Amino acid sequence: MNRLLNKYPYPILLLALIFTLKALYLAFFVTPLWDIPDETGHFSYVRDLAEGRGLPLLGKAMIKADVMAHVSHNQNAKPVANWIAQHPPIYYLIAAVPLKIGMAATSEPELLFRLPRLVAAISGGLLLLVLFRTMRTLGLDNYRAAALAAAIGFIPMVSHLASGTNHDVTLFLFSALVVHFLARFLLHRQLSDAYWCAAWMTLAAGTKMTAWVVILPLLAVFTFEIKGHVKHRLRHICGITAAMAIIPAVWMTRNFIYFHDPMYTAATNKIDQSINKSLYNFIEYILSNSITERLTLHFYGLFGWVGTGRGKVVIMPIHGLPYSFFSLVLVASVLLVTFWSSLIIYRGMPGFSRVVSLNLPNQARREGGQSIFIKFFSPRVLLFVISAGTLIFFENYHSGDNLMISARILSAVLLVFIGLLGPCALRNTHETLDRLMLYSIVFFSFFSLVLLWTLYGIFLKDGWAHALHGRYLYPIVPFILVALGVAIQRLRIPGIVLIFFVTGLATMELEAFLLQVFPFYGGNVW
Amino acid sequence: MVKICGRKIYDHIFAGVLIGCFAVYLYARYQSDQLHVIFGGQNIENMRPAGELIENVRLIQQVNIQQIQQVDRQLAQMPLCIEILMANYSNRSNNGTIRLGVALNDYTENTTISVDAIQDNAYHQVCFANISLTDVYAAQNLQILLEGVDSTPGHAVTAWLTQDVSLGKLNPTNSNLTGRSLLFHLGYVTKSPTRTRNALVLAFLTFIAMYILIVQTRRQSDSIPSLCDSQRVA
Repeated sequence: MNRLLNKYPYPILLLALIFTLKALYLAFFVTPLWDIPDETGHFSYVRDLAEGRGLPLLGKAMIKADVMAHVSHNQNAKPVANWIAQHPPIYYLIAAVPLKIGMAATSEPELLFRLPRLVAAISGGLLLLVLFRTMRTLGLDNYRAAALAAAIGFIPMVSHLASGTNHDVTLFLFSALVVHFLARFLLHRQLSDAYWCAAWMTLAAGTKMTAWVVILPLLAVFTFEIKGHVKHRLRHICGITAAMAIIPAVWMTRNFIYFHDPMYTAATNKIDQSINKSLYNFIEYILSNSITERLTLHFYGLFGWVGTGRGKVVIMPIHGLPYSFFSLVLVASVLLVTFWSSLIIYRGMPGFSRVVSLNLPNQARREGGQSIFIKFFSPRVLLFVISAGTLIFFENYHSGDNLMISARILSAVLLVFIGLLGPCALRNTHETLDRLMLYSIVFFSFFSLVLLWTLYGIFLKDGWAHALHGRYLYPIVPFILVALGVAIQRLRIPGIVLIFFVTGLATMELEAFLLQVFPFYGGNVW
Repeated sequence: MVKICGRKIYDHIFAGVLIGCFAVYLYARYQSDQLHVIFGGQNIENMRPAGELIENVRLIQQVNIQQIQQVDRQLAQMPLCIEILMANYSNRSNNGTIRLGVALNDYTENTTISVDAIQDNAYHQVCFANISLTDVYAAQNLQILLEGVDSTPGHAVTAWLTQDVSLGKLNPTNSNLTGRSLLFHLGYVTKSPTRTRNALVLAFLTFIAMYILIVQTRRQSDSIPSLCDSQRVA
């Protein structure tokens, strides 16, 4: 017990418990059934397993008539194909347990439909604990680590998804565990941590195929970071690769056997609308469809699906003050990460430092991040950052747009600038925390580009820009949180500043629920 | 210094004042009014904005009044409320006003709305005190009127349009918008005790979490040294 409390002091245990209680309350008393994205399909997958029918097969799996009747309030509703059968089974195997137990105890459909929601709620609470431990591993004190972990629990979309039957929060948890053990491995050099990282990676990959994108860069990191004799390195790299790839390999084999395509999904055989690529190239797709802004908006909060609309898709993004405050937090976080990672790159790339002719004091190089604002600060760096920030702000101020545009531009700058330069600086970056930060940002850039490219493919195929869900970023959010944690640790950002932002996020989430989500749920029932 | 749970009393006062301020702010904005929809909710099909609602832009939405759901006699005395899906071009700075009204046979009631009140991609709700649901049931013809008053181009809001015209068609001044419909709901507003209960539970959990963050995590941190200096690569 003492060991547990040493690792997880009771305030963070209470915060995780409160998040779980909040998610459970939302799940059983607030969030209408089927208002979580694709919840009918997720529930049907879980029920297939709970009723012993085995893994549903895409193309044959069905959402039964009772679910469709409940959705549409039409007793004559017919079963429809379950496209969610495209997903690997790990989450569904877990979610089938409470449903199986519930089926033995009750036959009340309203309760049974909601029982698998338990898994996402508990996953959300555990997620906060894992993020807390990761931040502590980075060296943040309890105060700041708890603030950063709790911040995730005050994002309305995370609370919303934690109150429904879906795999995204569980995937978020597994991804956070991947990052936790990666950080431990880099900091403590224990190979067991690398294998734990691989084990959680394969579980994440077995939860949603989106996570597969992380496998390749993760392998690259281990290849680069495992030290020792060639034989020793080869043995462990092979072992880690096998551990990571096991579930994806099994899933791909299954897909190959049934569909002759290892990457087969519900979208594979969709009719191609064939948008002319010369009319809409990748950059035009992103700019003309406000892709990054829509992803950010939907990351913060996108409520509704077919529950409120009784069979019709009715959705509502969170808007107004809560979203503006989140934008402010986003801008501040992006600026912190950009600032510190730019300094790392400067230190790691002598050629680059000559180009921009920045001159950091030698004393500061020795002392790392200590007393950064006093000892480590080049006036020219400050001038550069302030000028760039001012230019970006006023450029957008004059065009009549708001802070969110700045966040988008800064995020893009971060992606391009750090993502491209980061790997070049790794060789000369010897501080482990800084290396972890660079890895995290490169991972984020890589994942984001793959995601955007995939969404572009969907756009070309379907003929319109959709599937822009912020939850697709969950496998990579723990990485960017680690980058933020390192920046906060290195720059010695005081805990009280974090508390200001996090309590602000908490209030804004409450406002979003009270003033937007509740009226949305109540206002669409007819 | 007086201490409570190991923290100076000032920390508790600070947390209390901060949470109190947030609570007052939310209480002032909270409404337990709930719109009960009796008509509306089109499918989202090939959505597009109606263009900027500037001077002389007028949208007239026909409502297929015969499809409106009946409510009991007591509720039918409630004023008619409508809500329309609007947008403000990604929270840009807009100015001026728009007019939202209902035309019932020969009677028209309008309300003028400052565009500052229009949120992005959100339903905007207006109730008409002089039109009851009974009036709506008795009417032969019902139209929703939405027009720009004095917003300037580049600083005006808009409304979303769908191609689902099953609940009524739009008669726009701009011919490019024909064959479309506003996204709207008609209904009545009542107080919702369930919503208030949900609000209280969520507020309680959030404020407890905030108190723990502000006071307790800080107390725990005081005795634990930072690990940050022991992470250089061997």
